[in-house]
Amino acid sequence: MKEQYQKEVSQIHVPKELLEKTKQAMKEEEQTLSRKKMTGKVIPFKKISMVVAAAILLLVMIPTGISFFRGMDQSENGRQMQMQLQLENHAEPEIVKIGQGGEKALSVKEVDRMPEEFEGADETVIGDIIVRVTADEKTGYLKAYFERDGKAYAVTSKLTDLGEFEEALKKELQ
Amino acid sequence: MRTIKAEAEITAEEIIDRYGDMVYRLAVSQVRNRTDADDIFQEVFVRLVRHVQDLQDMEHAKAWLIRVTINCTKKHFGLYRNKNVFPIEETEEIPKKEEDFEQVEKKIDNPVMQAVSKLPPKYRGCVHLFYFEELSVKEIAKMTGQKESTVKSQLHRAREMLKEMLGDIS
Repeated sequence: MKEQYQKEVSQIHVPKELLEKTKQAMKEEEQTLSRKKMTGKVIPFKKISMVVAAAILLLVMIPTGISFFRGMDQSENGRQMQMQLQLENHAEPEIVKIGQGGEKALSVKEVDRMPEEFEGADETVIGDIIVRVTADEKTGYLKAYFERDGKAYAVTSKLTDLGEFEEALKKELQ
Repeated sequence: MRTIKAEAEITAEEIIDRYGDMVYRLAVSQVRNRTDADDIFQEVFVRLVRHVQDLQDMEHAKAWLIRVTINCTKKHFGLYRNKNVFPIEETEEIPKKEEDFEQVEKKIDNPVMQAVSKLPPKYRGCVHLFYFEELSVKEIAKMTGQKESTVKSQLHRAREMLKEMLGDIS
């Protein structure tokens, strides 16, 4: 059976016409390929449009991102400057040592006029000076205001005990 | 003419001269119709021009040609199925495709050839590659992208069918 099949099949050959036609088609295909190679690879419009879209997106995104981060940086700088100003405004009071080795703070500053916070504050007399005493709303630290020789003074402290505060102030005024 | 990568002297034209008959016989054994076999033959060798530089040597080219021929015949059967879809009103105009199938058979008086041509296409391919091209089951499996067990089973079924048909003829 095998031999018979082989004998019959081996009698089948490509017709000459077909062979020539195919060789011609192959040459044409080869010419088309080399033409494509010469002109370069043709990029489909879809690919081009995708690349252009990506480029536009990048062009938009990069400056936006940069300005966003710059804005963050600027706001950070602004915050730092603000903090610095606050610190300057709230400069540490002069340290006045009270008693032997006393570490408690008492600061006396000359002011133009009486700060509003002392309006209606309790008055006390230390020596011959009338002193208005009040406490800071947030910290509770005692502070005072007095006038002497036509000048106004504001006293700040880190004291919360009125007796101690008056004692320290008395020493300061002497 | 474009050439094989490793063997610079071998061109696509030399490949067609060497393996033209092999491709044509395989195509004829598959489609049983000379017109379709001609189309498949042309398509295979035009494809070869595009891929010849990827082929390592003549043996590689042979394997490539067999694989592509089988793929082209599969495509042909797909197109053939589609061509045969007609609206009910037009059924009278359906061309008698069986006549095409008979074209080759009529020219073949040998009962073995007639029996082989009556096998289902997937069996015909295996029988042709095994008995005529004398490829091993392993090689056929590799070229057709099937499991070896599938090829063995197809050959077994084909042999049984041939025995049955040849018994009837004789």
